[in-house]
Amino acid sequence: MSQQGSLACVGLGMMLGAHLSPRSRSHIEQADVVFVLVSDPLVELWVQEMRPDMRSLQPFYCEGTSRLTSYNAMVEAMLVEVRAGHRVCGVFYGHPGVFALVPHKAIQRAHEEGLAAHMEPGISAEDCLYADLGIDPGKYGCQHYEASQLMFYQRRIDPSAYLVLWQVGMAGDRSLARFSTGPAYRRLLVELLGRDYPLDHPVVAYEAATLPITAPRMDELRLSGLVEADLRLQTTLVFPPARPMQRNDEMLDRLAELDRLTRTAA
Amino acid sequence: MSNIIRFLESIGSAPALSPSQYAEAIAALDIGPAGKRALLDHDGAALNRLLEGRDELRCAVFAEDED
Repeated sequence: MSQQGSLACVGLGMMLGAHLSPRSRSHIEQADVVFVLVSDPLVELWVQEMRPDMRSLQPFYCEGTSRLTSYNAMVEAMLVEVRAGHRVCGVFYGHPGVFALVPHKAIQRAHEEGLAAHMEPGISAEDCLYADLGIDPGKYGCQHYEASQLMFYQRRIDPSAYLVLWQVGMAGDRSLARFSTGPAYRRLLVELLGRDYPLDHPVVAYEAATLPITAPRMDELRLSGLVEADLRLQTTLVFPPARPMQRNDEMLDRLAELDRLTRTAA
Repeated sequence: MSNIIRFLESIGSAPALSPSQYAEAIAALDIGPAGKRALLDHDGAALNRLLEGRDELRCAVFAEDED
């Protein structure tokens, strides 16, 4: 009798040895086939120590080829094994569902084909960012955008909230075939952000620590300095609010009236 | 498991080592002097070279525009 295949996409967290949940570790240890995509070569070696037969998804990347092509190939590689009746584990750095197209698409496609698939959360770079920078996203609100998407579409930035920009190292890449862009592209990003922030507004270039022997990157820059800054694929930009929150007096008045009517009715 | 990876895993899960305890733990490891030096220097790149990990690693798994 053939076994029904399944897919579990699990998150390793960001730091080697520090963030892996017991459930995710069990999936890694018990799966028939393990695929891995992580952000640090030592972390990949760590997974390889757990599963010497693991298959890295790195070879699917190819500079000059659309990342969408690579992502679809990664999804298909996992699903081939699921269709063959294997228990497959896709291991991704951080949280497998945060800024991660491949795990979402693999699970969606598995479900469309009637195959079992689910996701186990992990500790994401976003989670590490809140801890390392001492930010509570609830304090003023917090907007997250992929940097290129912010450039490609008409978005409304609220400068009274935190702003977090992801994948800034390749901001403005329309080809999906590069892993970095340069100062000319960032100049346009700075110009765009300059509509809502002063050019000397502080911004933190953040990179979560991936090894327990290293520290996170938390470099304070100025908005204008982003053009020439060392921004990599894994760099995230964090903008503190540029102005206080504005009270919505009209809504507060309406709420007060509602409170008054509620009290009167009671 | 490689002694270096095992050590990283152990301090990742239990990081409360003072600098002197960290140095003592490294001194007690059954690894060569280059590995000990890299750990004392907190040099991940040097460890990666020693363990022959990948030179370059891509990690993007997101597309800003799927269309």
